[in-house]
Amino acid sequence: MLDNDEVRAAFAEFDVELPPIGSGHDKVVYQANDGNTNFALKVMSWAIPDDEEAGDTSVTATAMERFNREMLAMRTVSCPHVATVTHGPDIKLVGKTRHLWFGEPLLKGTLASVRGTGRLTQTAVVDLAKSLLMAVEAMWDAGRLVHRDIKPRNIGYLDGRVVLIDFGAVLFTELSPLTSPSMAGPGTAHYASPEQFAPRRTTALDFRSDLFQIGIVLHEAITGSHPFRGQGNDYYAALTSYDPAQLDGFECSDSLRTLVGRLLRERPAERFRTPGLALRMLEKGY
Amino acid sequence: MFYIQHGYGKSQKIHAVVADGHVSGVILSPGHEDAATLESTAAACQNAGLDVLVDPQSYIYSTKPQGALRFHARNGVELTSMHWSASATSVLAHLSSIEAMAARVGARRRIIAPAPYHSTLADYWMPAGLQYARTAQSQWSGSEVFASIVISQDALSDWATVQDWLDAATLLDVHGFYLIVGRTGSPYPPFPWNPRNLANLLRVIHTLSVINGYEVIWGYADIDGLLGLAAGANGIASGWSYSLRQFSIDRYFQERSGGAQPVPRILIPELLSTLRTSEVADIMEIAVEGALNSLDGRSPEQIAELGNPEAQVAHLIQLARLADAVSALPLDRRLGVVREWIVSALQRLHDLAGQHVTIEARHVARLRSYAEALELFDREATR
Repeated sequence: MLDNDEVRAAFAEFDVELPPIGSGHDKVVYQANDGNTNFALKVMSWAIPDDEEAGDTSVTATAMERFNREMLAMRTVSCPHVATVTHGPDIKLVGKTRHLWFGEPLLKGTLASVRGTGRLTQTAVVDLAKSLLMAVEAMWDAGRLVHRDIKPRNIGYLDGRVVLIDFGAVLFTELSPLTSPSMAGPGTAHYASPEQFAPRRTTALDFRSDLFQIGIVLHEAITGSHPFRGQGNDYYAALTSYDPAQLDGFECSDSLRTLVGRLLRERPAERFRTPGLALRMLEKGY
Repeated sequence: MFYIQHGYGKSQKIHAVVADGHVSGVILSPGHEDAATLESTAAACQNAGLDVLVDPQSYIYSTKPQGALRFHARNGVELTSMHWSASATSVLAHLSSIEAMAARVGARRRIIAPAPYHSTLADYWMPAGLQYARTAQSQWSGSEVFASIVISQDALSDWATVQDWLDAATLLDVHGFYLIVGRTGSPYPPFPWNPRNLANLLRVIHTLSVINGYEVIWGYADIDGLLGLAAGANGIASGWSYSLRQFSIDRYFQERSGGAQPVPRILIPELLSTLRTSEVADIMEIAVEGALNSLDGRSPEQIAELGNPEAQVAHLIQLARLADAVSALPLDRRLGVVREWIVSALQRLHDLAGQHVTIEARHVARLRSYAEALELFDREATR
């Protein structure tokens, strides 16, 4: 666990505000200022072991590799809708332990905080859809990357534009996996695609899993509610049989309705073979 | 769109079919044709405004025992070292030889990539099949590349396996797919389909073309291809001989004994069946209303006297007209129209049986399998 006062002391070159503005599975986020700009300072909550050899054989080695991949993804992908690294990455001694850290642009809220439990206007939903599809397209084109964790908390707003953040679960499909073959990969269960529930040895994820996650986010933005939550033991059955008729009665154009229906198809082959085709459907209706 | 699946021989027959105005292209066979004839046929077809594709016929080299086609070498096509664990160097060499052949015959704009034959969609050749397509796409820049899918009809029986394959295949950044399905045996008319397999094939076509936007051409499709067009295929092909109207991998490695001279047959659109000319003449004698409206004014005597070359031309003209008619329809109307054709054909065959006209029972069985497959497809794919 990180001690906030120790963090502030460790990053004396920045003005770090307390309390933290957020925390995730393995990192704590602070608002900081470098003398010119406010930014989001993200400090990994787990410590780098002092004994490097021990580190190589521990769970931490996997966590470090995941961090390296997160940084690589953010530096590789060039897209206005993908967050960039503004500071670091580097290692800092916090108290008595060493921690990895980096900085990102400070967001003006996330989709989760902006939307709450309400709905977005259709114009905002279309903008959200285009931005996320462009982000997924850029990630796939840059290095066959799959975000795997697209959800309202990982979608931010920056200078009026939608930005995809938090690449901690990013999958490099052309690098060796970090997950045991018998386990499902990382991500958030309520935003996972059907294939993300399968053990890794029986499935091969690609950008179309991200498309499914975008479909859930868009449905929520249109209706104000999650399409599958509340199904109990029937959750997976609902996940694999989405009916776009659920959008009836909401502000939703035919092309947007068709888009969400296609994004939420059970099988990747039934979604879109490129994010560009999804964008075209949204813009031109085919 | 209708393509002529051309094996070997001069191109006069092609022009006779093309003259009717419903042929879009031709698919040539470099394993069956010597280099000079292949080039001249391709040139003649291009001059006629046809889309010229070349089927590399690579699939014959992935069987045990390995098949053989004597004209491949003469066309500079080297595929004998095809292997499921072929090195990248070998794959590139195979592709280079096909590209050079396609360039020589002036058919480089749209090229069909090689692929092995798959007994199942989960066999050990599958990664190689995808790799050939992927590598062809990266090597043949500036061309519209078609990935080949060459499978046994039995590979279509389990939809879950087909779906897994589709999930992988739809990641290919190719222009289209050239699809061939191997049937059991090679009788003509063909055995009826297992409706389950045919419905799954239609779902494959629908997923590739309608959902994912690939151009799909079903080779060796013959009358079955009309259902493929209804499911969303962009083109179908059929040829002169029975072996070009349905695909059987067996013929490439089994010893053949020559056999009897094929019986002249022509396609009767109103019956969706390719009948012996003698059967057609019998039907004309009793004049069942609506059964024979498409014989271009020929008399029973003229029909009975048709030789094989003329009957082959007549068959492809009729099939091309039907294919064109389906292709011209909006996608959402195609299924209904083809279904109506099948129902009408079955009714007419029933009426003919009532008048004691003897027609091979296989036609009715095939049409029934079509009807059942369309029902399954409609229920499952368009839900």
